[in-house]
Amino acid sequence: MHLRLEQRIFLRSLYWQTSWNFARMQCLGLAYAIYPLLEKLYGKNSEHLAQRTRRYLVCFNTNPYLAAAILGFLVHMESQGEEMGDQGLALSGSLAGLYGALGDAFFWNGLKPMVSALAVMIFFWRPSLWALVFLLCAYNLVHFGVRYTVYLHGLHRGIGVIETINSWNLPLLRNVMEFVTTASLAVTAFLLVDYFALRGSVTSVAPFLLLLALIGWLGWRRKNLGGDRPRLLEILPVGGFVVLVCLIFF
Amino acid sequence: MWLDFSSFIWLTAKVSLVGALCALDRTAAFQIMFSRPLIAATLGGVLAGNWEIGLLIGASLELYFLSEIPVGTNIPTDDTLLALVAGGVAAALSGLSSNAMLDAKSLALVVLLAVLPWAVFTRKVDSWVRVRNARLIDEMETRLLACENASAINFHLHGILNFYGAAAVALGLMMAISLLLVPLLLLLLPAWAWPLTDRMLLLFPAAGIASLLYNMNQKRQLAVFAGVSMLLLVF
Repeated sequence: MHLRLEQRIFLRSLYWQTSWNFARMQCLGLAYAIYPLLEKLYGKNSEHLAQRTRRYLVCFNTNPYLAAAILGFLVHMESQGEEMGDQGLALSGSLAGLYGALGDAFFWNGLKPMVSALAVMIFFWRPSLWALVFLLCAYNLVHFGVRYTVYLHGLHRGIGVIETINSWNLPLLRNVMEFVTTASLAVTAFLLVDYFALRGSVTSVAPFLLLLALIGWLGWRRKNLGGDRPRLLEILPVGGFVVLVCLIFF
Repeated sequence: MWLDFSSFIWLTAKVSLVGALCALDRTAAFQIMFSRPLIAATLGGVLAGNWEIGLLIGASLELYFLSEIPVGTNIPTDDTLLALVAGGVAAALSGLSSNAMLDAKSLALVVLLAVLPWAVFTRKVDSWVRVRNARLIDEMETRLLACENASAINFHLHGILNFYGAAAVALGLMMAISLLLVPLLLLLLPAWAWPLTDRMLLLFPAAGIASLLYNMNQKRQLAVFAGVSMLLLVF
């Protein structure tokens, strides 16, 4: 396959979730990304091209970054003929579930919190635009690196991309990132003491006491009231707003 | 205390039109983290003429909604829109001579408390766009049945217009109301309450840290957190 076509399909995958919807989720993104290949293969017969494109309008949802691996795999299969393309499409549903879980855990629960926590730590250490630069550079270095590598592996090795991703041991990397996140959160809590001028015998432990109280409250809430969503995030601003209004009127 | 009418309109339009571009990064395109609150709030601040207070708001908000993740059909709070509005409003009000004596942290706190209750609204807007996007499938299928392939496939990109339009309208509404509401709160807040407000901003990063720690593997992470904190206290 031409390099230019490969790049074009990858660039189109950056718009993977542009039309995300509750009905079939990322199906249009998949069809849009793979369309240049279909056009090249079946472009001479527009009816056949339309029929092949419609085959890709199936319900599809996965992590938008690791979707590049599935896209590469589908391009690999479709290039080998319609029958192989259909087999690839049938298998892509299972891959979507697998990479959805793996990608969400690695990127949303691992990389994003780690980079955000480090960026916030940089801000509270030396408030400057370097925190922004760090956030963008560190995240995208990993994100684009993984995204493009898995795409190329899917494209050239087909189903072999599973071995590639397995060999990276993403769950282990995620655990390591969680430790880095926690350590940087501890440093941030420490830096908050200076930033908010709380240094003193009692006040310097205030952020830590506050953290313990909040974590305890979240735990109590989950145990006694159920539900996984941390309602604290909604109660705090609304509660704070009410307190503000009370301060004004009483 | 309030912005003059032309500045009010100009700033609202600027934040909603430019900010909605930034909000596209959240779901519709790229996802290169340009939509994180740290960057979005700074952008809001830049548009309103004071990036420093925008950056402070961004750092306070960055960890706050991080534990809500977009898994499956779960729609998390759109912290990009909240950050853009908070950064824009705080920067605009910090430039007024009547607020010149106001501490940046106090202003940031009041703005955040006024803006964050919009969280529920942002989730509704996001859901609305995703419901509306489902129409694009029917449009595309109709075109494909008519063998108009090239125009059919581009229906996917119409999703950008849906996301952009919804974000621009939501930002405009939130900006306009917040620009009217926050000066009123600043005006009405009693003088004795002011000394408390600058340190109260601590609540936001602290709540963000707490919810992140809570969502991780609790016992192990709490042990690491306690260990690192002890090391820092000792050295």
